[in-house]
Amino acid sequence: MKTKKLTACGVLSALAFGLSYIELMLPSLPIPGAKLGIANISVMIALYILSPVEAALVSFVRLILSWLIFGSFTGFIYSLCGSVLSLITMAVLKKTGKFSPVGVSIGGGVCHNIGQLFAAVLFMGRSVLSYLPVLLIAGAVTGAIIGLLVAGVLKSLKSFRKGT
Amino acid sequence: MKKSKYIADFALFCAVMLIAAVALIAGRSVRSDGTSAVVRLNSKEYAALSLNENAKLDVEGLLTVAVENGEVYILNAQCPDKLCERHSRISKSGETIACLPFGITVEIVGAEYDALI
Repeated sequence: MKTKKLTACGVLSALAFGLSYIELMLPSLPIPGAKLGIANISVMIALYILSPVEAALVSFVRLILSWLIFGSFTGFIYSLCGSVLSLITMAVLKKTGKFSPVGVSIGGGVCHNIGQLFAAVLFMGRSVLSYLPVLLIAGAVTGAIIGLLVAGVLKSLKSFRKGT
Repeated sequence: MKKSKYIADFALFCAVMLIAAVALIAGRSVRSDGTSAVVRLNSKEYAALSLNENAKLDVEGLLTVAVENGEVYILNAQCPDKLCERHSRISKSGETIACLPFGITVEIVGAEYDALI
């Protein structure tokens, strides 16, 4: 069981990193700091099939890898603030049992952007707060898209695991 | 998936949109015509440009802030995504263009700010 968990963690971390790379090649949204967040698919799957601790691990490994391979240190701090807030929110929303992966992902997306904006306030001053409304909207929309994808993946994973 | 599960999701989505809309309207309502543009580099004030005259300011070779007919926009950004160049022109107090890669913000300020300096 332990080995199974470890393997799943490794696979999901690698997947998260691969998705970050794909994300870089996609055209960016015309809002500073906003991204589709496809790496979150992997983090959310870890959250659903493993636990919040493993999801945090997958997210952290991905952050460190993308920082070392393509990122700058400031970019890392932005993503770290976003990811921590997003993970806590997603874990709490999932725990309530009231939301499907779509709702959990919306909360995660919105809070990721709030976390990043908070980092931006530290680096660049309070004037960046004027981006808050558009970042909230972007987070909810991208979160919903990612949530739908995750719901699909979880469904097929379920039947796959039953088959083995 | 039960139908009731999606109701909570939808409610969350609407709540976020509502908060964003309120924040947007609240932000708009306090805006007045700007008098100058404050350029900050890593949250330290770098320069202030009056909106009354056309000007171009090169910020450390990273990007150029242009003032034209009381509106501000960005030119020649040296970053890969150039999001700041695509931002619409700004002219009302509180409006901001941010350049994340370089830590530069350009904020329009109104008369109330001029009184402080």
